[in-house]
Amino acid sequence: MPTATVIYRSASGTTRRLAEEIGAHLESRSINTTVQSVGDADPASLAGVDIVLLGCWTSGLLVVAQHPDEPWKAFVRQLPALSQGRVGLFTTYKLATGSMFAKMRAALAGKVDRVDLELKSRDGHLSEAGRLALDRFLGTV
Amino acid sequence: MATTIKQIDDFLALKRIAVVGVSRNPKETSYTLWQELRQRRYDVVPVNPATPEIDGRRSYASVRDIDPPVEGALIMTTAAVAEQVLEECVAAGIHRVWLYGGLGGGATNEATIAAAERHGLDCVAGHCPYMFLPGTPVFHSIHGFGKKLTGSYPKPG
Repeated sequence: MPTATVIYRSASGTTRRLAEEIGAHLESRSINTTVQSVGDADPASLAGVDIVLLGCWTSGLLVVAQHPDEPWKAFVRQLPALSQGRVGLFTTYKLATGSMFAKMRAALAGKVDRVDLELKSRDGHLSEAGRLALDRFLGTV
Repeated sequence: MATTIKQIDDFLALKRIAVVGVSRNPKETSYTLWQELRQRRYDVVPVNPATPEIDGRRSYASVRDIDPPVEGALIMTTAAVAEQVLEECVAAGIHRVWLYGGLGGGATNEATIAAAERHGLDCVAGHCPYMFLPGTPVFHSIHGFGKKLTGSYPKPG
């Protein structure tokens, strides 16, 4: 059975909810999934995982200067190279994600070869489109 | 007793901290702040006598029960309860405390500040940790800016 770890950084609980819904969807696809916050997860433990999903709330000034916040970046700095598994990103936001995914990818430079999924949600719920995107992503594993 | 930035920095430099009065309700500030500190890799220990567990973490009835002991206590109860918590902190050998201050006063009032002084505690009184954690949502910075405008923001010290 493939393994997945969903890591989230949540300020208000919305990104945590999305992480938990992503985790439940992966479990429903028979993937052994762990959902953890950046405060609880051991970065080194992600090295051998088949699927890694990294999520963070969209910080910034609503429509400009969006970026992942320091606790997420601190976690990413401690990550080993994730060359074995597939990596996806997710975020929650109020008005726009703007440069959020670009900044997340930049933070991961040198840690991952490529990012195969970018998933976003305003309310922390996984939409039908989000489920389909996840399924397409899983099809590549 | 005016809180200084140095006291706040010293408190936030601690690793193992009791958060007294953590709610089980995810919408409550005490819960979100506890989660925030967890995500910033603080070893935060919830204290709430009404429940043995919050989010899978053991919740203690009192700071006196925590083992191994904590280095400091963030008190997020009402002020009426905070005086008793301060006494328990003294009994537990905790000398660094933060009396949470938010809308409605939180754990801070004249009586709790006086009690902290009487016990000789190093006390941060009447501020919200969110204002001093880097990279929090912008409204916390606005809160801090408002305090600077009104002269109630802590001085360097």
